[in-house]
Amino acid sequence: MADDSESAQFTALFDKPTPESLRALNMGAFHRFVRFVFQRAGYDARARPLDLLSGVVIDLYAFEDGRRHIGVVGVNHAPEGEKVTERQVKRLQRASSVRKGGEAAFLVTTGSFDQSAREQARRIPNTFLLTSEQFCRYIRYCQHSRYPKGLGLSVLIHPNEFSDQRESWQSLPGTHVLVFANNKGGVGKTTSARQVALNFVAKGLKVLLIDLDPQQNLTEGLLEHIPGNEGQVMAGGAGIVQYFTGERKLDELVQPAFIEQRRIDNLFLVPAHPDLSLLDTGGAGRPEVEARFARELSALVRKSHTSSGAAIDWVIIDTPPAISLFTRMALCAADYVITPARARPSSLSGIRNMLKTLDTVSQLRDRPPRLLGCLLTHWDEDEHSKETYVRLEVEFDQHRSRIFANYIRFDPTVEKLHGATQHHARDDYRLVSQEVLDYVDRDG
Amino acid sequence: MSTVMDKPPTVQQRNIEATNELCRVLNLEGESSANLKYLALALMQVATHESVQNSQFAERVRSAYLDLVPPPKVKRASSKPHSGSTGLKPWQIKLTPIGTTDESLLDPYGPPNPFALQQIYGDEQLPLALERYSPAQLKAALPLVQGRYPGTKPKKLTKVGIIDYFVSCLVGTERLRTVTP
Repeated sequence: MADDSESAQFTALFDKPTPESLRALNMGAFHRFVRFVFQRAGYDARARPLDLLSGVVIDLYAFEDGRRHIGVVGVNHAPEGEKVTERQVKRLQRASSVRKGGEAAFLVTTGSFDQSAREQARRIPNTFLLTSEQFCRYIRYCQHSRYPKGLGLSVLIHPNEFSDQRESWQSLPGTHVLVFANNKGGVGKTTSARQVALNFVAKGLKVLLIDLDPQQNLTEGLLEHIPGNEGQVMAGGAGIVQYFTGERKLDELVQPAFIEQRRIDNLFLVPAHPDLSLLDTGGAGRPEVEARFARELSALVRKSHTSSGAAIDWVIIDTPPAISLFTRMALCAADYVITPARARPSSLSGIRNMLKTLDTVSQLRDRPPRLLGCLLTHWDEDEHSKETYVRLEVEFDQHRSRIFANYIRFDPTVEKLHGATQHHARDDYRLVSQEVLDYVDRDG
Repeated sequence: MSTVMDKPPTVQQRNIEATNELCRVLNLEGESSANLKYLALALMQVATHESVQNSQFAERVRSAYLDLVPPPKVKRASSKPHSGSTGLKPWQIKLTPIGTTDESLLDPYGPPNPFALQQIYGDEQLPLALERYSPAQLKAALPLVQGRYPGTKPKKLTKVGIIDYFVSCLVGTERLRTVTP
């Protein structure tokens, strides 16, 4: 049983976990800490002696109209370099509920797993092995993915997606996924996504836009004006909601994009749908849903690389003005993230929420997304803006990022930048788009 | 060896040397000195264009500039962002973060926190980090520093005076003297 001082130690360790600090715990404390983590992840986690030789196993229960046993956790405290073998994995899988595939078995070690252990884990589905590095990523993900005291309201964060047994995905060379995200609304996420996409297309690049905002403003701008389509977008046509309901795969939802009734070559769109808001489970973590979207997007891009037409060069995702499930999914799939913001002090809290979510969701990735920086929009050359500029710069310096050298000047007509007339915001976006390409070029 | 030889060349001497070298490279050695202002203009225009296209070149220019410019003048650089219409970058010091701080120390609506800035940018860059704030903002930050250094106060309530005071408290007076104009 953890006493008060140990509880404080565990809380501190939970806030800043490192593999070294996990190894520094003694065997008993490590067992208790693992249990503490599963409790913070939403499980009712209870220790039980397995047998005299095998030590303790942790039983996991979920609260759903009472307690339901959903899995077991084995804990192995070993020096760095010591490998867990097949025998220890088998012992954990002994329970019939695990062998039949109904319940999950997790094995956490401060050492590592040998090949036989990994093979044994693969033999019985729902077996997941976590090294201390992977367990630390799981902890960092949990930190900002659920409210610790929200027993009835909050979610269960499963560790599956942090283990080697998950289905991995990776970015394909030659295609970049760029996400525009900010917790705050009215900062120019949609306009920036559209304008950067159009500038990329003008440079001969093939771009897929994905609208994940239930307000579907991006979709309206690109589909609403097709002859015969008037009113269809607002009513909600085929769109991303069908991916979530399992009716269609992501690649089946890709449509050509139009601006003012003119088809734009090399620009495609996965439209949003107003019912997206009904599917949103909010800002709590859903690692399996977030990772599934990233996998499916990766598969879509891979398909474009193997098909006869030109491969997609850029996927650009517009997100809702909230830290919602859709924002988390987009960040999970991102290679690069841009945060559009107005130079106002009220921008900072939204930016902080977004950056915290980015750090959290990055734990699901072997190669975390790069924060390209803060794109200042609605720029008005007044003292207030200049003052906030410095504050924003400090904020982004903290995250080893920056403010874009180019910015978007205030332009009341910026949302209607489809036509042929000249707008200074259009010029500004041209420079910003080039800045993005230059940065990504340098990034390799 | 004479002391004269040890002395670094003045800006004027460097200017003449660089102009002569450029004229030699461009085969313009016979040009009258009256025309050199046009050469400077041509160079500036081409360099501006190249800087917009080529970020490495821009970085070399910026780096050469920072090597030449005396520190007190540099720290008075404007904090304005760059013009979106031209892509030109004004002579703005870009600070290099070397650490992080507790987010709660950075109050979106409050005065700058010199302690947080010190953690993010380090001792060397602290005067430049403070330079970016207005005198009113710096004045508002005084209680933060005076709370930790009771009984102390700036010699003058000017921007320079307050920055000197913050730096002397947080970093020490020796370094302070090297950055004060």
